[in-house]
Amino acid sequence: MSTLAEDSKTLGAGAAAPLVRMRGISKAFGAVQALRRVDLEVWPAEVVGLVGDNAAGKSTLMKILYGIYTPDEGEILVESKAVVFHTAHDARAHGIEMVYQDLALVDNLDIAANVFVGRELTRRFLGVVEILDKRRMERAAGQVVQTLDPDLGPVRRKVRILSGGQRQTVAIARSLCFEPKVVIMDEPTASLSLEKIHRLLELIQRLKARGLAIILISHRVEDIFTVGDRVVVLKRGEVVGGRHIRDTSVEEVAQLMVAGSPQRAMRAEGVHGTRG
Amino acid sequence: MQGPSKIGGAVDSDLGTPPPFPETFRHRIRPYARIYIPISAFVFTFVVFGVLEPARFLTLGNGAVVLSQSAVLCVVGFGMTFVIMAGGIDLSVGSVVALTGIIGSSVGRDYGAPAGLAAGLLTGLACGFTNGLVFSKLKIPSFITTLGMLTVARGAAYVYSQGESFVVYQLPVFREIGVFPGIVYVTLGFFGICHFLLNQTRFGRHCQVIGGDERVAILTGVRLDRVKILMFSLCGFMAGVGGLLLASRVGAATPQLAVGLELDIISAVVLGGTPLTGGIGNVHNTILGALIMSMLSNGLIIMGIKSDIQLMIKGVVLILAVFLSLEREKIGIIK
Repeated sequence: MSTLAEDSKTLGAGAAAPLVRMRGISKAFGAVQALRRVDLEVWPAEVVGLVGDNAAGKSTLMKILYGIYTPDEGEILVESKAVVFHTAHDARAHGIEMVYQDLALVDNLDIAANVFVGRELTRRFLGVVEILDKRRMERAAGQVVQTLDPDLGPVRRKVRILSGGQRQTVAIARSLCFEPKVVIMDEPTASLSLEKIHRLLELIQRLKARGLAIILISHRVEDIFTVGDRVVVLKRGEVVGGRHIRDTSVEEVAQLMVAGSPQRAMRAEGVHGTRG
Repeated sequence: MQGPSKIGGAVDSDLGTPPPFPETFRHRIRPYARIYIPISAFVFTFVVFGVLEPARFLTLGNGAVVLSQSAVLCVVGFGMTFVIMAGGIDLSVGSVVALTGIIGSSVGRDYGAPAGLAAGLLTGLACGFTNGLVFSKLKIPSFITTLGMLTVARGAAYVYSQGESFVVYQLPVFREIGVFPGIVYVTLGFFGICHFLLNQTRFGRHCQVIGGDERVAILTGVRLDRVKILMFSLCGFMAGVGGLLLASRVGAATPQLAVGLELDIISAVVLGGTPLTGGIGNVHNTILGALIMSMLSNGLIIMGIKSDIQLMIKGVVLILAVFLSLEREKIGIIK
């Protein structure tokens, strides 16, 4: 894996264009303006923290990137190509995956089925009918789950009986099964013990080393300072600041969350446009 | 948060402990109940009628009657299983059975049996497809969508027949092949197809996902509308098959055919172990449920119970089946 990691690192550093560029995204729900002309860029092998108070628009922005909502205005470019996502299916087809805060698992199905839900592997049966390739899904799910948590046990176990941490492992396994380019994690540490948080942050670093981009939505600003390269602060649907982690402090980010304004953000620096 | 939570699941459960199960009696027995209730109900019904009416109930001939009566329940129930599995319901199947029976037999009379069969199946398919389209695109609850179709299809049956009833010659499938009437083999054939669809294809898996948690289906990119239209189309098609079988068995198609059949079918599916809350169940369960329901009708008729009393008993059975199987914490609010 080391060669691959090094390759992607150089690839990431030398990349001329961001993996994902969201430009001028606006979204209103009825009278509520959830997002107002938001820009966001994510480069290969980069961990971007997305912070902001409740109702700042973090989840809405990510649901737009994941195809759950369509923006009223603005465009999304994946590897410099403009894309329009109508459903999560479209976003996943472009290598964008999301791990939800509540994990989005189906309790009645087993681990393997949950890992592949929505993108089941199939094979031809009698040359004509497409049927589920359960054996291949179980094997593949087993492999990914193994690397994340060797103690998780057989993939035919129903998700209903798993613990919270194990459930998260299944949700993360789902996001990694199709060689994603970008993984969005929504409050992944919210329900974890401290020990599990460390394991998760380690995993994020491993993924980054493989060239993946991670967007981390978190209330725990310290987590973003541990693994993040850049932090983007949203407030009431607008970007009020973007900082490289090495140039900022927890205090400054907290300050932005509370008192930031879009005007100041634009003056700040060209953080959106160029890598420092 | 201390102790087991009744609403939450994964919130406070990351301490290596399994998620807190609400330890109610009903919850603890449910996994067993789902297997044993249908079997016990089957044995119970069998024993009760066997003891009360051994001479007429426990004969081979009557067994064959029960089997061929259960065929229609089975075939339509297979289609219904997909819909209930996905958390929906199709109340229109009784009327669709009547409409397909009438159209099938009238076209069959004028243009020959193959044309009649095709016309009947297409009618069922069209009704189901319409249900699916209205349900998914206009976003009307399946309960109301199919209640509307129940009335529309029944009305169409009256309009088309103009009060006339069509004599139907029995399809050859009713002759006995070996020990069983041929209809049993037809049912088994459709069972094979539906079992395959539900358990081996992406479509079947997605029905399970939608019923298990529709939000997850959206979040993971399951093509909801397509699956919903497909499953209602399948249910309508199977109702079409049921209509042709029923008209052929009865020997005549009238617009009053199969009034209230949808309730028997829902009872059969639910009694078999596919709860209305969706997400779990299978088509083989429906066979057991259909056998229980047809044994019940058959036994009550043999005992000379009046048909209006039979209706009352069947209503109670439906309520009982839903009571035992519903996963109340999954839907949270009962309206």
